[in-house]
Amino acid sequence: MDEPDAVKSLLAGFVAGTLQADDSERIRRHLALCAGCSRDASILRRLVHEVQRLPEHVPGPESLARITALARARRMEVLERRRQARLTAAIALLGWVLVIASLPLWQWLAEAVRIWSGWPVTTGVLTAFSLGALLSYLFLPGLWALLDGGSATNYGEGRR
Amino acid sequence: MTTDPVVDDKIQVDEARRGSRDAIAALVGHHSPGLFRYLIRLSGDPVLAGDLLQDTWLRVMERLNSNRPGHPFRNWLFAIARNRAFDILRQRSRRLQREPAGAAEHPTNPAEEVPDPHPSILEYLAEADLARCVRKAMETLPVVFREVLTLRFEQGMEIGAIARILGLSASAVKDRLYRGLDQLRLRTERLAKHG
Repeated sequence: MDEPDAVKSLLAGFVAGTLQADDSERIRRHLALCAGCSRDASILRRLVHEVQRLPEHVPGPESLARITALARARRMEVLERRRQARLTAAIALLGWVLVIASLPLWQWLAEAVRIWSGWPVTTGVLTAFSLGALLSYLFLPGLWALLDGGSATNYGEGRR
Repeated sequence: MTTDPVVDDKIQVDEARRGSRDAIAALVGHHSPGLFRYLIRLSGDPVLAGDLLQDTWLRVMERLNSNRPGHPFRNWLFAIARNRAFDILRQRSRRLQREPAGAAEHPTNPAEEVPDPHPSILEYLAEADLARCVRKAMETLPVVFREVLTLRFEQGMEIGAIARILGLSASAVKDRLYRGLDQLRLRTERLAKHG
């Protein structure tokens, strides 16, 4: 590629302001000598200038006020959902603590039932874990909401 | 309030995250004009852009906690808006049985890429006529070129920020920008000649 072609391929970058300093300097020097490239650069500059001057579209004040109100309401909903999720998770945790802490009581009850009725109730452990699992199941939606509260939109999703 | 918009954003975002009404109003008020302009350039439809603007802010409020420190809020906001806009554009495109917006990156007519060897009409076109032709040319550009031109020249974003929003490398963004400029020139010239 000869010098003018190489310069032409860099002209858009020069006008767009995306070149490295040394490339920019190279183009600047070339433009001082080459009338054709100088004209091309001038045209591109005019185009960029017109893009920058394209009609402004501004959302109306009523529209902005409505969007602001909706945004506030949505944020409040999210915070409330998160608060409830935290509360639910705390209750589930407390439920588990209580179940585990009351294991001796369950064992004592199971033994009492076995002696009184003769039913093959072996231990309170199964009962306790069943209740614990039940509690967790009941509160799983809350836990899920808590975990899901910060679902991410990363930049990678932007690729199109 | 500091003079650094990124730091100001960070403060506002932290407060908005906790539900501050003033911070939410400040964020919406500060970023909506630029975002609306970008959405209009993407969609070409002010009504749709208004809907997208609202939808974007609702999504942002849902996901505010996932805007990590070190990621400028503005880039993240534009990325969310872009995702939503492209979803809608793709749906419309399917409905109209046209090619998807992203596939229009390569011009359908290869002749468009051949520059006119003669002196350009754009050199001596009056400013008002040039403005009109550029406006029309922008409307007809493939959306992938239109958006990169608007992000760079209307929004004044750095290449790195655009790359994050578009999910592309910096070199891919530059390539798209240069091709977009080239396409804009060709289409503006054609409009100037043929109206």
